[in-house]
Amino acid sequence: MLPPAAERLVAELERLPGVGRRTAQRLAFHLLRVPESEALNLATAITVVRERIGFCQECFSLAEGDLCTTCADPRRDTTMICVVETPSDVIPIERTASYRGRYHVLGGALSPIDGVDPDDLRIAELVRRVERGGVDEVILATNPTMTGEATASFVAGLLRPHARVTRLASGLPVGADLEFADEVTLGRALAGRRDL
Amino acid sequence: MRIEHLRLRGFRCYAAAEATFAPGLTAVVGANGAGKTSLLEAVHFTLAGYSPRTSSETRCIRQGDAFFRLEARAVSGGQERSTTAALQAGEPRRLTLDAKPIRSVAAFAVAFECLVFLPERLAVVQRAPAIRRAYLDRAVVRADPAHARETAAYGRALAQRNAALRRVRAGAATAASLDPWDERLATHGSAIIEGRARLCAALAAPFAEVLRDLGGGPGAALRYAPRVGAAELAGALAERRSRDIERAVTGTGPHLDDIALAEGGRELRAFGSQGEQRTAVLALLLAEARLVTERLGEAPVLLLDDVFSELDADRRRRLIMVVRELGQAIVTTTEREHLPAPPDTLLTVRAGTVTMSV
Repeated sequence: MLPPAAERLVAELERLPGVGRRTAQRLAFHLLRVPESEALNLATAITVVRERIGFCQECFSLAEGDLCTTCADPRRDTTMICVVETPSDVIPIERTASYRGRYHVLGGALSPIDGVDPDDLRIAELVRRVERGGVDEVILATNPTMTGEATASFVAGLLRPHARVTRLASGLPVGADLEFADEVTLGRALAGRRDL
Repeated sequence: MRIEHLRLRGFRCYAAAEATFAPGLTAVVGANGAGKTSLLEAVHFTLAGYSPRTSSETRCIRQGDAFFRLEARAVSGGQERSTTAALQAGEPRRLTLDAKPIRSVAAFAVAFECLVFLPERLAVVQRAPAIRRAYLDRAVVRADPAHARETAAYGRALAQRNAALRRVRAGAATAASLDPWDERLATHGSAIIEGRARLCAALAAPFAEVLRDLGGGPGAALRYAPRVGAAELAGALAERRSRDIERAVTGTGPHLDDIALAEGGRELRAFGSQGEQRTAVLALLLAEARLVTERLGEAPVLLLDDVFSELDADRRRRLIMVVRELGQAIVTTTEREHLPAPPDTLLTVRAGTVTMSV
């Protein structure tokens, strides 16, 4: 129905996560309607991002150049490493503004069903970083899912001889009502209670 | 806890019908295919939020109708509650509790307890261990809803460990990659073993009592003997690792356990007659009903489908006595003569109509 070039654009947009056929068509028609310069800006941004952005040599987060902004920042605490699954997991932790250490991005979580083994993640790189010394604490901030927990337990086993290993606490969200908390979350909050 | 009134529209063979239930024993009498089981199914739908008979619930919609709708009035914890269940083909079922829409059937489990016997439940005694495990796990969840997550998590961890075993055997991963899955499996597996052991310990005495009251022989036993104890699971997985890698399947853990049901020192599965096996399944259900009564201070609603067949006159009489002691029960039968005593309500079912006779 569409001319082949437009059809190709729709097909490419449809490959994006969360985008179905109809949304892809809407986006394509939008790109055809706006001034040419605006559409090309998007194309340029994609080209530039793919040319310039790679993985940080140190923590495997996204970086423009060899090091990401966190690893390049001399004010960051080098004695702490926070381990996350994906680069996007860094953002919420940065938003807390209460973590001043560095990161390590594993690039996913262990899942043999999906063919993800320890070799497929940046685990050996993490162990080398810690073995080099100067790291006092590693915070495991993988997701509290089956695969995230398994990944945390695997990484913890490897790092324990070299550094203090901690896991993000899980419990009640701030401002939540006890009455509406689910049993598992509340159970964990009870298990992880603290002295006041 | 009891159901007082049920209204059906477009459900199974019922175009439009209603039924009133007395607090004690209600007998539903009718020929084969008249709609006795469907009436029980409708009651279960309004008290539990789903069909106990089928997972494809659109089959409950009467032929030629576009939807079904059930409305019930019940009493629970001394309070009058109203529920509705409706389903239109191709749409999710719509449930309400006290006129508020309910998304999860868990809300029904909190509001009502309703235990059901269907003839296919005989499989619990007769067939493979997997069926007994599933039955037991559901009973554990009924007593402790949070346990459902453990069962689900164990299933996921087991699938991951088996996948990891295959990858290790194929040389795609090292044996160390099994460590985190052993740990996950041990964590959730121990919780499952403990939950089952707790429930079986609580059920064992009432099971023996009820089985005796139902006319069963002495020496009734309900035993959960896990092949590995909760505390030893982690060690057992480590010990089995090389054999598990060879076979690429996890050879120990609660997913392989069985529950022994015995009477007079004989395994019912191997030695019981049809009548004895039926009595044992009923005893299991009624023992759970006693536990529920203790926990809530109120008896669950019992739905018993075709319980009298294969039972002799003495066992039928005993069954009704045990059931009457508990609370409200709705019992179906093809033969009115099978009823050992007149029920509190007699509902006669014929071709999609329900008539009440006193």
